[in-house]
Amino acid sequence: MKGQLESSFQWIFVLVAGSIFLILFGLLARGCVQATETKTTGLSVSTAATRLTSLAWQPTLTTEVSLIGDLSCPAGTLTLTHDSATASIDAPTFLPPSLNGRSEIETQQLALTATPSIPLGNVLYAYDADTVYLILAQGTFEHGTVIPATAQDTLASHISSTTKTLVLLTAAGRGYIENAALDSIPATVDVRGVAREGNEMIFFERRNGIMKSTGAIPYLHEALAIGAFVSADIRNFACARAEVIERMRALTVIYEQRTQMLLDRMPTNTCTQFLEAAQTLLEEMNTKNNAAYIDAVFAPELPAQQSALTYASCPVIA
Amino acid sequence: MKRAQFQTLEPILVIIIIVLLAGVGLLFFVNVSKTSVAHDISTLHERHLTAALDRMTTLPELSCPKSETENTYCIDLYKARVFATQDHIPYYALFGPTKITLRWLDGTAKELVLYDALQSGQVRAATTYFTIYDPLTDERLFAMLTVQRDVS
Repeated sequence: MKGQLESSFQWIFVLVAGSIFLILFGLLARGCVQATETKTTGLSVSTAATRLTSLAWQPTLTTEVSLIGDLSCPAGTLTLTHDSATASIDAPTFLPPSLNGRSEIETQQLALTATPSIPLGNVLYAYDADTVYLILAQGTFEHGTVIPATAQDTLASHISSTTKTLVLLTAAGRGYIENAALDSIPATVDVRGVAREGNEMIFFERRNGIMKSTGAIPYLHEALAIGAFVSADIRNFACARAEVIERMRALTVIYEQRTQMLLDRMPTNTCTQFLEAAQTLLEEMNTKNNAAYIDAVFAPELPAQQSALTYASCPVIA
Repeated sequence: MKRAQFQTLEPILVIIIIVLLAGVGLLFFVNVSKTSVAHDISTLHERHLTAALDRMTTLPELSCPKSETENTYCIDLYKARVFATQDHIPYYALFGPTKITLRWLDGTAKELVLYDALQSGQVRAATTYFTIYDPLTDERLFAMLTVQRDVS
């Protein structure tokens, strides 16, 4: 009997020790989960917004939108980062902050740079080194991967079935589907692109040899059309363009108010008339509707005013 | 305690000692992990602050004319004064829940809140030093830009 009791006590001790062991493991697991959750929450906060907002300019997206009437845009379309980089840049912004700077950037560089300076009257767009950009007529998009394609042999020699291909059609013709140059791209190659037809930018894609339109949006300006070409996605482009115009207007409003503030505080001198002219130009520009506003932003008058102020050694607009 | 009793309890004592040692080891491991995670989070917050400072000093709404920015970061004083009065909602995607304050010396110390979307909670701060440019007087002044970010 005594031996049986001792044996029971041993098992009770084992059970108690095992329970303590399990509790310790439980506490450890809970601590690890909480710590991991805290960490991932912090990291996701840093990347989720920028990843979401980077969608606007990733040419690999294949969102299909046939109507652009009721548009729901992600927040912060203009912020763009590359992969997990936390140093986001304000691009592609289309913003005209200075007279000198760059107007294009490779997506791989986005993690390495701060907001690049963009030429006055230009736009910034990001291009992907893994994508072949084809301009099937006259075009102005310039960087290493652009192929100005005018002949069938040119196209055939540059495109493989594994290449991501974006196409820009700028020639006015009977219609993008019948375009001979586009037809010359091997049928095995899936392409997405945008064509200008009069006052519209028509987004299209050819998948498995089947061509279809994914929507159209009014054409406003060539500089913005390049953005359509790079994005190759009507929803993302429409969102980015709307935000670009809003941000650009906010910028020129700051220019206008700053110029007025300078005029209010400076004595009348040779700079006054230049600044007043710039102030009038900016004031008129900021009251225009979107299409007219974009034309005014990219018109030569604003850079001309800036140059005149610089030449006269006066405070400049931007 | 009799020898026979001790021999009976010996394996149990061994188990208890092993469990205690394992527990101490696990607690040490958890603490090290927590410290590592806390360090990562701290680094992340620092990156946020640095990125906000970087964006702010290169923001076209604030940046100096090109001729003034050849060698250094620079903020135009009058752009800053106008920017501080603007609606900051469009800039939330860039700066998030932060408060960005510009301080400069112009005879006396002056201060201007450029952007404020700070919510109540725990705050971390970072400061950078640079110049601001007064286009009216053509003067460059010593300035500080401080970013406070909600980390709660």
